[in-house]
Amino acid sequence: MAYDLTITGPARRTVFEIKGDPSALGSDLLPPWPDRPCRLTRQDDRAFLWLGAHRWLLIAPPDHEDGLDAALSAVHHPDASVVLLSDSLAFFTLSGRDADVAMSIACPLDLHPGAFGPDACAQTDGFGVRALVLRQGDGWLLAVEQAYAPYIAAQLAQIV
Amino acid sequence: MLLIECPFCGPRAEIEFSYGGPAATRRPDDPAQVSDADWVDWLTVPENRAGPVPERWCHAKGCGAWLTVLRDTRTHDILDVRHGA
Repeated sequence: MAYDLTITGPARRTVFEIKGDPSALGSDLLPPWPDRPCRLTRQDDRAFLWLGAHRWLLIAPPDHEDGLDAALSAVHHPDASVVLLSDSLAFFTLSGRDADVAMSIACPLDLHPGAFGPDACAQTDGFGVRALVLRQGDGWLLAVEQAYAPYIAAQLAQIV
Repeated sequence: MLLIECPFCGPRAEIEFSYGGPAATRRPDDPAQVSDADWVDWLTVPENRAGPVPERWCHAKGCGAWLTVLRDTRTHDILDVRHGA
């Protein structure tokens, strides 16, 4: 069976991991805080994800990296740790009418819009490895550790 | 398949978690003062009773938190989940 599915990637994005208290970094650099765990906010092509009790991810386009790195590096604070993870994660985008079906094969979460809305995000299982899942437009963004990118690409290719 | 209610992430499938062993017995404060027999008992003879048992689980593919899960070994019902040990 052929699915109406377009897959792009693996691609690189700007990713910063923030641990501790992100308010220590000031409000100019980050989108507003998500109001609940496993939720994200978006601002200026940047997404701010709350993924753990004291862990956030800032995801931005690749060309934002130098500017963000300089700005975040300039804000040293003992209550917040900022680590550049852009080289650690590989991003795949899934779009098309059957993108939801493909994601239901990849991951065990209930991804129905009623349970996983546009502002939801999750670290979960994707084809057996740790994966980051969030909606993007009418499709999905799936990120895994860089080393697993060829494996994920092969799994997605099997679906198509 | 167990469905474990992570306090941070909500209900998640068992495959997102790693089992971390029984949580009932406390590690001896000073292993050098424990007899070999007691040390082996602590290390390799976990309690295995029928009924609710506290276990450690790590939400390895999710938020990364260590949880203490009270699981009924007769029914696999998850009776309680809390952060930490």
